[in-house]
Amino acid sequence: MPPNDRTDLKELAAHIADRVWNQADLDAIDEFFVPHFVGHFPGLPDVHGPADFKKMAAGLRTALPDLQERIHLQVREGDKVFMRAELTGTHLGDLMGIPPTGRPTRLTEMIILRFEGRKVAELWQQADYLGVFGQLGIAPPEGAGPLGTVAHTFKTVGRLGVLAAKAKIQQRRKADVR
Amino acid sequence: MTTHGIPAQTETTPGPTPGASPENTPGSTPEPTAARPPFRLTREHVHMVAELSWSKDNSRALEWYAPEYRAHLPGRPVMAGGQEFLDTLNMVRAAKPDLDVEWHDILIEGNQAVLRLTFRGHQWGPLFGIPPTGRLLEIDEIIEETYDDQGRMVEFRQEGDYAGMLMQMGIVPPPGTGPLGTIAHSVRTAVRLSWLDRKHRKEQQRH
Repeated sequence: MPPNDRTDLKELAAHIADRVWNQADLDAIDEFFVPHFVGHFPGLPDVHGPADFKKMAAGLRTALPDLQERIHLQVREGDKVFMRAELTGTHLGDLMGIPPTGRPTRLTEMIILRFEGRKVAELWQQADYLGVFGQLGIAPPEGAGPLGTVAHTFKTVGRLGVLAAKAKIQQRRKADVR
Repeated sequence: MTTHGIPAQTETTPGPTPGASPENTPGSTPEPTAARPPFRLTREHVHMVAELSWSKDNSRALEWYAPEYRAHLPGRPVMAGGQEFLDTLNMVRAAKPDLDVEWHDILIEGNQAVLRLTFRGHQWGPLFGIPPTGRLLEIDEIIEETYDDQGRMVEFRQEGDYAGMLMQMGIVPPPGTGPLGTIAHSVRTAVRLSWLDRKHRKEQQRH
């Protein structure tokens, strides 16, 4: 059921997450985010405005075309809604500079949304990005030691170089077919 | 550890009650249910448990952890029981003796609390197998806590910017480092960590 003026903020937050991540409906960002929206993501400069956030969401969708989000828990107080969730998807496009590995990924995340009226004005996220690096084979295994870490870096750089070249060849082939 | 002020309560939640009432103290002589006011989670209670847990002698905090307590930290096995969790906090505090916690936000609904915090401190001791780097580490975290009807924590979940922490330690190269730069960084890091590890061992032998 579409949200209305009386929809609880927790329901509204779940509806927005479902539209953006599960239905890949990025227009929901224009609909439900204020123009002065600010997003705080770990390791990245703040995202300003719905257009920037749409760009970020589109990039994630390209990296993980079958992206799905599952919400495990919500907590609400006043104008803020917390969500503990997990994002799953297959790594088929460039993700944070990592060429497609074809591997399944699972990112656990915690986010807090601050609403102004019925629209999202601010978002804070923390997530297990290190876990995703491990799933993609980027992070060295625990207890690898200094030499093991260097060896892992050599192997990873080589592997990612091959994957990046493969991705470029595939892109060219697609362009030639068109 | 020093902590900054507790974020203000929003208007939609009942006002804070001062501290933890003795009636809610776990381990105290049980009183008839009728005489005991039901426990209500407040910002002050959350803050009190955190202060005790991060204090130098955190043994007094243990009574605020339920026997079935579980802590879920990213990439680590689930911790069972308060003692294991408090031991981990001691390890972190030993690694970062000047640890400072900035409280940005607390949300409370029923028996659940959500905290948004920044932990700051210089790494003067080994931390998760990494020898002391002496660097200032600033880690943003979101924490979810669940309490029982006696005010004891039963579950703790956390996500934090650990990739950022590794970058601040100089373990992970900064974003945008190319393939060759990554290899060079990795070799430099291995040498630096071996040197820091030897230095730390020597210092420990001296003491």
